Amino acid sequence: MHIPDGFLSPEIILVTYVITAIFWAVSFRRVKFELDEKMVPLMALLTALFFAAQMMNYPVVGGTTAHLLGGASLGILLGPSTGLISMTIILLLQCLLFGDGGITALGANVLNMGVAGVIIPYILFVFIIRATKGKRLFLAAFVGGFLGDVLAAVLAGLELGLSVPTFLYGISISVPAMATHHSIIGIAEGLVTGALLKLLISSKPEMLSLSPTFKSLSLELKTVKEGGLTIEKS
Amino acid sequence: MKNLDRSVFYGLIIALVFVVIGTFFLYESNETLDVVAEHLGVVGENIIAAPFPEYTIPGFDNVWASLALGMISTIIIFAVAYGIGKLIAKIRTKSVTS
Repeated sequence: MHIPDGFLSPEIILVTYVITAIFWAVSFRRVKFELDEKMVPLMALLTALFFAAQMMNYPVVGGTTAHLLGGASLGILLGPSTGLISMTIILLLQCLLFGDGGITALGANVLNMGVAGVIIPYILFVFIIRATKGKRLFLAAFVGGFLGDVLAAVLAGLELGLSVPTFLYGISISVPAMATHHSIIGIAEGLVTGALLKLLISSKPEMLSLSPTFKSLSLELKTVKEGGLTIEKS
Repeated sequence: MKNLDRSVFYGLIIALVFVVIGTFFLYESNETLDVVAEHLGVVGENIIAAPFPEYTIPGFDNVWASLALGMISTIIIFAVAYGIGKLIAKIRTKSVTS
């Protein structure tokens, strides 16, 4: 899903950089409310973990491959601002060190995989947890992970489709192609996100107790305390 | 806190296992975007020449070099994120105390 240089029109490059810059600015202002000293190792670990996870390419359909984003896990566990900064670190280093994604497309790639891939899953997760009073943790994580991936792909398809004639074909082809293929890896993303949260609740509750999302949801998540989760009051 | 440090250490080991799997088994990258672009003859050319294109070390065309590169990169990413995190936490502490 990493868009290289040469695929996007100058207008799309400008618009995506501007929108992403706004999210960066807001995140850098808000991150100090999410990220405390104790959470730094967790942030670093998840950033490295999902950088490595993005190296694994899974066969999807028609001989194509796709990789997990990890955006939902980053957003839910670290909070939207810290999650966006984590994903930006991954995408920036992938671009500069490995040529995975272009520097002119960095705004678009962060918008797709960072804003849509990290912040949307966080919002969906919090909404579903609140609506179900913490009873549907796996479902909330799955929906966040799945829709985060699909929306990221739809956005990438839109940016490419709207870059005609630079990319030669319109959104009627680019959006369905991206969305269809990435909905398959989206299912995997949802399952991995749900499984990771369940695993952390049962075996590493001390990690979840650092998460700003879980701290803010402490009331709703009382129902999963039987699983071993103890929330620190912030 | 010791528990957390141990968890982070094991988590990093898992990340390195991902690199091994990504290098030896799930390495073939044929993304939808690239396939369609190739079909239409659109060529993406990055403006900045990356030092390690396609996750390989130029001049070292073997899988072990790619594995080492992947592992070192993962550790570097961890260190960069840790440094940025520490910096943000420091700014937070300063703004709380002032």
